[in-house]
Amino acid sequence: MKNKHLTDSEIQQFAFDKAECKKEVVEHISSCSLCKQRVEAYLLLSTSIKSIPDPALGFDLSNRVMMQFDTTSKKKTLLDYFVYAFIILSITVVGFCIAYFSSVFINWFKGNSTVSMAFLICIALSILMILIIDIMKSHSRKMKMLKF
Amino acid sequence: MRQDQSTDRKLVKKVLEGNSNAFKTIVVNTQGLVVQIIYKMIKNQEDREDLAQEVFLKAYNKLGSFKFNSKLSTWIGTITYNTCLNFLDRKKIPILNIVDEDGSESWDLIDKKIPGYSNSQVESYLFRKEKHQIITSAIENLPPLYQTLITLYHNQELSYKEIGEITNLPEGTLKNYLYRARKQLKNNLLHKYKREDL
Repeated sequence: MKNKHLTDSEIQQFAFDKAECKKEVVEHISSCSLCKQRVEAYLLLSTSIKSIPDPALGFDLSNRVMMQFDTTSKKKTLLDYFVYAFIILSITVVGFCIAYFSSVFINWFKGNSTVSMAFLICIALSILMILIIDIMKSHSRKMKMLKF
Repeated sequence: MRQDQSTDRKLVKKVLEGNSNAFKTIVVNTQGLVVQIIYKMIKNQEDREDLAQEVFLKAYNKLGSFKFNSKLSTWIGTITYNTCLNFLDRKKIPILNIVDEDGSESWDLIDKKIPGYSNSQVESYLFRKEKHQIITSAIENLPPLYQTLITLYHNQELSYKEIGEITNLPEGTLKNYLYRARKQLKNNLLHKYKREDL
């Protein structure tokens, strides 16, 4: 049996993890009123913490979260409509331009040499590449923001 | 635990199928734990409210990646804890200030310096003087990590395994932190008690 009083860790271990206690610690507490009192103080502390009422937010969290989902989905729908309308308008304008200026375009393509055509295609491909890289970067940044 | 898991599976399946009411049930079931963690780690009320909503929005967006390796509430607890950690990190607020590491035994306040004073008097004092307020304010003086661990263990009655999953701390470290947290809490209470009543 331990003659010296138990350390704070041993007291806490007896109070909360009794199964892990050494035999001598258990024996000491059974015969030492001071250490027993200390164990009881920790148990009282634990009971007191348990009895503290749970904190509450000043609003109904579930309703607030669900409301946010509704707002987000409504916003998304409006945005979707705008995007679709913009795409349709762009296609119409481009189609109209091609139809109206087709003869001019044909003459322009016929008039240019192969080298200048290759040059134009290279520039177009480069711009396309830059745009794709930018979209990918922005996508990965947004995905990182979602991570926690 | 198995019953919990089957309920979790049903709820998650419903949410992924587009049933928003199922997610509302998840929010209602887990908000107690989420609010407890947020209240212990964050001081500002506005930030608390924003973070509580942020946690559930993250949970909703990530629900498809939940692998049922733990209880759904533990998983949401982990999201809450990590969201709070990120917030504190952004604000440069430490989650753990080690102040009472000298190993001195504060029992002396009762055992030696206050002759004739017993724990039963401490007990009656606690019950007499708005026990909840005193303990709540003593807990609030602990570092955010200690507050969270104390609450998860004593108030939410989670196991070491579950707390370890939420905080990503190994069991040994977790127990050690809990010992220190309780000791610091006890010291805070004893010092406050001594100052006010003796």
